[in-house]
Amino acid sequence: MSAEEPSLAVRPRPVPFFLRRRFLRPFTPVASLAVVGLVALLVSANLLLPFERLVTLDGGMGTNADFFNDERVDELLLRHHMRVHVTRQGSREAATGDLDSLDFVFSSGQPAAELVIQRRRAEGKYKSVHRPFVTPIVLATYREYAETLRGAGVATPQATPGFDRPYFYDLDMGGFLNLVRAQKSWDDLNISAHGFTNGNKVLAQTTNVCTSNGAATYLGLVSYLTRGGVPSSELDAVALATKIKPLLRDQGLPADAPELYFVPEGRQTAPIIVIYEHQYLTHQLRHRELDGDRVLLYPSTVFQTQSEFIALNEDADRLGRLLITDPDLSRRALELGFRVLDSNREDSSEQLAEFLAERAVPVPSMAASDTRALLPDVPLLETMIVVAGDCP
Amino acid sequence: MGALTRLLAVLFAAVALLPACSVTRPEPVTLRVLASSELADLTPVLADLRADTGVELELDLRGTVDAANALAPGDYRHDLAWLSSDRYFQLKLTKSGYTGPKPLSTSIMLSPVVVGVKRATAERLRSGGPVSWADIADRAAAGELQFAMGDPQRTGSGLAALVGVATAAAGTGRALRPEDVTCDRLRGLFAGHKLTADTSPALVDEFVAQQGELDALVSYESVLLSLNGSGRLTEPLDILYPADGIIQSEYPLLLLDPAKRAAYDRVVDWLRSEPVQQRIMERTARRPIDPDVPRSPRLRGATGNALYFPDRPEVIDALLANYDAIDDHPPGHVIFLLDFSGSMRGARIAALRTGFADLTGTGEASFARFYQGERFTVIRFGGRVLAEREFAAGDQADLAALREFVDTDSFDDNTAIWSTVDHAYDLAATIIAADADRPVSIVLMTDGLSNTGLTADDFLARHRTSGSPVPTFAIRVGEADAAELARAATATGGHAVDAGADALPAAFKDIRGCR
Repeated sequence: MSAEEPSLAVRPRPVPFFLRRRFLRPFTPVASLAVVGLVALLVSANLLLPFERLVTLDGGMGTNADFFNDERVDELLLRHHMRVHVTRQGSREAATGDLDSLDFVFSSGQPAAELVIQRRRAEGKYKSVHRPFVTPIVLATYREYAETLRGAGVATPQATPGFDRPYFYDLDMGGFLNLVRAQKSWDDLNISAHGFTNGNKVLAQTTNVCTSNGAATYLGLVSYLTRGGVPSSELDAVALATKIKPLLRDQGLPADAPELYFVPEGRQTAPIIVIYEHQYLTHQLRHRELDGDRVLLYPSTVFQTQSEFIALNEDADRLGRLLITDPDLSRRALELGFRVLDSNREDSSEQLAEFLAERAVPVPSMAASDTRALLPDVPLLETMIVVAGDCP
Repeated sequence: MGALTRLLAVLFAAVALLPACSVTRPEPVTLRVLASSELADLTPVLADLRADTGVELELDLRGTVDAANALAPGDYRHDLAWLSSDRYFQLKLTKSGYTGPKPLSTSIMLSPVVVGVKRATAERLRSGGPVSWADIADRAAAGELQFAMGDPQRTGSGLAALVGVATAAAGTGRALRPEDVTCDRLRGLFAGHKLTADTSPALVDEFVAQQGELDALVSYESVLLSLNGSGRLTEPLDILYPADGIIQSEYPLLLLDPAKRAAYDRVVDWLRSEPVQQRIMERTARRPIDPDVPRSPRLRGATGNALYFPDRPEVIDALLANYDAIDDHPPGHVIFLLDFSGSMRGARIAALRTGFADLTGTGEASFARFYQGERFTVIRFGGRVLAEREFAAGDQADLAALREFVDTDSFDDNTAIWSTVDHAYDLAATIIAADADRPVSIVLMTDGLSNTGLTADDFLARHRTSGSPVPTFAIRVGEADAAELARAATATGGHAVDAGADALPAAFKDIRGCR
């Protein structure tokens, strides 16, 4: 591929070497017929076995890039003659951007997916939706920060049988937000008891609320707790977003998450950050030794984010179907820490728990008893995002 | 027919194999890159990039802020940009009202902006525990620390340092808001700013040339470590990671021309591959973005907590304007009017003395302390002026005398607030007559009601006709008349603050430097 090659929705392969003049000359007399047929087949882009064309699909996605950037996933897709070219951007950024240059959008959550679906509907263009997995939104932090929150009475360690230290904490989200509202710093909460100092305010850093699903979901969570429900009208949504804006904006420019959390410098660069559970589990699974420094806080009011794969053409639809039906791809998603939806659309948290246990990685509590937050309807959430983030 | 069948079989087999062996040598490409000037140190790595991927990066090196200012959406002159940080660029986009797609951006490596300090100075700074920006500002204000720092209007390291120290000075623990920048607390620090430059490498060269006269260099950790290893310094610099926070640089690579996406992907994949991350770390002392590359011993230490970077362009504009104003305005002359009526005895006068201890550099390190070049007139008053004396901040003996001056236990029974303020304005006129450029301000601290001499209205009537540019800042303690103080202070272009006895030192700090 040359650098200037236009980004086509489905790229036909370049003419292979064996069709070039030098190669063909000796064969031409006998093979021309076959070659003409072959070229016709290649150009028609309608191949069946034995030599199916390789389809390269351009996908816009946020954290789900972790799935398609995985080498094993790449390998599995090649078996189906598919390759995915990832454009990494926030889910909302992908949903509001140029869809015509993409074959699919793989949104980390429903709201951004809904935007894409609405746009396609309005334009009368192709769309089909597949929902391969879910993952909860969590606050990732470091042990001494979690313990400091425990000391402040807002975090409780989960029991993790077989491990001498907690890796997961239940976070009283209302209590945590009270600390944020009270402008407490980590020093105020006596983080020095754990050998650190930090004069920064207690808050959870997020990615850009204007572009990313994770930040928008956190906004939804904060607003749900602030209001005790979802806003009822446009006016209500504006008022609520205005009220919680400082809680989300005191971090200044959004973090380049979660990259800065996982580097060894993360404790001082992004000590508490909103991510998806699978990102943390992947991290623990990838390393031979368990990372005892990084732990997760599970908000008492949970929000499961549902990954939605929106195919913008039929080739991508084939990929979307594979994500649901191919057992190897499903297994790989599980190995990457996603809670895969089984054929009955039920989340298979138990399978994930089993897998983690097999790999000697602590298993977070997957109890479904927590309060579940609701996100406002897409138009109201959009209003809140734009107000809270001063989005263009 | 047998031969044709065999040939077809071979062809089919070759086609079937294609997906597995489609890696061909990519065509050579040259990309023009607008880059932060310190990235010149990557030249050898970029030669490897070209050899391995066929992509040549042609770097157009500039100060990071200059580079960001040269980036206009829709009118990019380069294929890529590679900046120490794209924060300023992001804020510029916000300010311009641009709503289109933002360039793809991928972080490549990390380096915090920190302070390299000569050993002796570092030891003095460390004697009080972990070193903060406040300690550095305090020593700079005292004339004991002279440092080099890039121009924040042009260099990324200079801007990061400016935002870092301003955030630390505001002490709010969150990203700066416009209202946090109204009082410029950085004059003390910048009293020690003796060398600047338009780019990081130029700053390093100048620092090397003048290393005998300077104590510290503010720059990227990578630049400081590389300089230490270069043999160009007569003594290596200790690297201090200020305890009140640093600004991290992530060196994002931005794709400006979407048509160059394929080459961009190749470059990013290569730069982020483990062996290259390792090579970058060894060669340039930047920290890999790859979490799995073990840090070399010199990069194993903590970086200091990252401060939150403001998300509003007007904050940066205000910081830069204040920075600019430092050169335009020479150090000022402050006239302190201290109420020494009997009610000040006890806790109130003790708090006042603590405030002056901090301001003169014997108390806790502070951004607000008196700095080189400043002058003060301190007046103790009761029913009349009890004592009046002038001091220079650059003179240790003078500062000791100032502390002694407020330590006096002689109080008066009356309070002549407005006559004293009026007297201060006569004094201000004399000062301005001698040195027209010197900004003069008055700080009035009182805990009572004026019961002799001029009334507030008398004072205001006289002041209105004087047309003086001298603002008065009033600090109200205890029973003083808040409304009257606020009215008079506001009329002079200053303002009033309330302070309980405990908050007196803080109020002094708050009022200092407001112009």
